[in-house]
Amino acid sequence: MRSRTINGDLRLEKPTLEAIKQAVQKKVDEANRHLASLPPSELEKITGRIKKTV
Amino acid sequence: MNDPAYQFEHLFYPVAPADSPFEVYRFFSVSEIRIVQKVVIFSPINQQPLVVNLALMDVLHDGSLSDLTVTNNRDIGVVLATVSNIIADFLVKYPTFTVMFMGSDKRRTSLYNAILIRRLNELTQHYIIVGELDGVPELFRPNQDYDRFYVKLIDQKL
Repeated sequence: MRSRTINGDLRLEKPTLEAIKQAVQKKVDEANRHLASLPPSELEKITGRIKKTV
Repeated sequence: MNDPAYQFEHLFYPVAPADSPFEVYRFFSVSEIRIVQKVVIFSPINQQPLVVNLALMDVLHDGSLSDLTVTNNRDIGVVLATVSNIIADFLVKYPTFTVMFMGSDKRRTSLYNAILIRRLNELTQHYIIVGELDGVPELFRPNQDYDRFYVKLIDQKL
């Protein structure tokens, strides 16, 4: 992945979209399953709007 | 947010639809012996449209990604401060989203827990921090050892 050196700084190629999707797919699937398993009242604690309290 | 942190950049990938919260950032962990490219990936979750999963990964020499490698650059504080800055950048762009994350193993999860405890007063000025333990989410409390975390912007309009 080492592509070039500019002014002494090592530059690295960015990962491909395919590599990213492959790496995160399992985590996203697990996250989907996990959130689907939570009752609505628990989900509300995660996604609900909460007022700032001082 | 004043801890030392690496500069980061937003990487563009052509994914549809254009307003998808799929976002990728990268930065470089630098020590005298190695430079490691790290990426932070925000992936939309279909089940809950306003929740994204955060993944912090190393880019390996073969181009694959891993969240199980031990970088050993002795800069974990700087790395996590950088991730914190990246989350802030993401939430500016997507203020209604909740960012979900957890460690890839128990040691990393405990580390995230400890960092959140240390920075809780600072973070809660702008964010709602939720910890989840055994499937039960609650507002983050410093005396708990959570297994999953959620961060979202405080709604200033309420």
